[in-house]
Amino acid sequence: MTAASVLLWLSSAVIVLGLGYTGVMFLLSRGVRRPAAPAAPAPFFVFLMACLDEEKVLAASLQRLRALPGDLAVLVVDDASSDATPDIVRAAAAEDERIWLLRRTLPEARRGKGAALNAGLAHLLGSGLLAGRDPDQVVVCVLDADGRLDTDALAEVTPYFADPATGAVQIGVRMYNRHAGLLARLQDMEFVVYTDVFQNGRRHLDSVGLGGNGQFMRLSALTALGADPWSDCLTEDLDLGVRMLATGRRNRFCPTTAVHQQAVLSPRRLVRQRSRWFQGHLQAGRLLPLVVRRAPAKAAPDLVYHLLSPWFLLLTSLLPPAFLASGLALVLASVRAGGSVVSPAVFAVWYALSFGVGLVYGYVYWRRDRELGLLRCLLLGHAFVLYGYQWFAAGWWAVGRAASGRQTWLKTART
Amino acid sequence: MYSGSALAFTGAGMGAVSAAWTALPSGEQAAGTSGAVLPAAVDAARALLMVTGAGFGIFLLVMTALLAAGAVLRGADAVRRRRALPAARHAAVTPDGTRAGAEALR
Repeated sequence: MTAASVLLWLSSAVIVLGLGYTGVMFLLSRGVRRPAAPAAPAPFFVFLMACLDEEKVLAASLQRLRALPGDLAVLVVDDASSDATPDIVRAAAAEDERIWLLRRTLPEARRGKGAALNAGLAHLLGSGLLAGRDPDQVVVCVLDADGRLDTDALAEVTPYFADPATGAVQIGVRMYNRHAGLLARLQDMEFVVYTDVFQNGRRHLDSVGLGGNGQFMRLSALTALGADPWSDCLTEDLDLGVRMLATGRRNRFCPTTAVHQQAVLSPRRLVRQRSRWFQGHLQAGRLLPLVVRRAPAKAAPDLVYHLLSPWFLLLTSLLPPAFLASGLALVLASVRAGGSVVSPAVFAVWYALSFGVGLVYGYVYWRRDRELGLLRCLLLGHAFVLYGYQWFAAGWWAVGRAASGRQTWLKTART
Repeated sequence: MYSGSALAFTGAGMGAVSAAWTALPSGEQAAGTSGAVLPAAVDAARALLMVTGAGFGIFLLVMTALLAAGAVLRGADAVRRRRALPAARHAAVTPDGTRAGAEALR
């Protein structure tokens, strides 16, 4: 076997690994079991919202949180907004003493979401707002300003915190404007697939990740990470989730409730947003030494794979051009031969490998959201395959930014 | 929430036919029957696939090396902890011979 043929076989193995990982996660994700209802009292929930110019969505969000059943408070960290954000919080606080405001000012403010969340946590611990409460019985929930929690969210996550080993619980994420067009619908499908397949699958590997929205954390687990648990990583949520696992705490995924957020409606803004996430994922690679040494042994292989996966994704971006080149060769050969030189079986293999996973994801989406019907969900699965290519553009954009030393991003604006 | 890497594999299958074309004749062989564009396209596809294969080989090596290094470090940590335990027990014995601070040993 020549070196060239070894390399060619390895390129085929890329697809085996990619599809095999997805298949294993799909199988692991089946059969969700909810924890039994706890006998212990429910924890005290503190919603932590880092806000910068959120006047379009904040008033309604605060109103929804106040209407939630349960023992809760809301701390809004205003990161030096230039709009009416602090006034909205003050007005809500005047009506409800469970609404708290922390105002940050320049030059300390506007240094990223992680810095704002750290300031909020320091305020919680130092201001006496939690006086007399057991840190094991306080749960901090990070919520985006436009986040819309299901009304049963607190009741659904509470049983997970009955286990003292639980450090954090991540709930599902949906797009509340998923009816606004194909792009919004595909983002909704993306989050449903990610949570229902991959997060559910990771429950068995103890490698559940945390997201930036709908992230519930036990206060004692947060403070165990130091005075500033959120890092300056562009994906501070991914970073925090991995570090929490490395302290021996468990991250849990609760699939039975969700937070709803706004989908991006422009392709350019979507790629820009994903590029920021991708660059954050590249930054999170610095956690690899911690993971291989301190993460639970059961979780380590999946976490290592997850942290290296941006590089794997960049690698797979070479496959579509290879497909186009070989497709061109195929067409030319067929033209010269006066008929197709490819048997129907090859087309069948191509379809199965290209869109087979899309069919599975269509089925997963249909199970979660019956409003579209199975046939439309399966068709949507085909569009989802093509939608996946935006990650290639986002990935290379992020690599360009990282290579040129650009580490800061503006947040995604509300519409 | 970063959710891209695993999902982008939905598109990776598109390259599968390219991978199947590892069985294609090389560009030089194809040139005899199919003109100039065909061998160029075949060679381009094969080159891209070989770069992908080389990159994947490096990816697997890095992942294996990291996990192997992690296993060694965990083993070393476990040995260190086991050695530290008798010393801690010894230190926890008070001058009058009674044990104190059992909680500290956990």
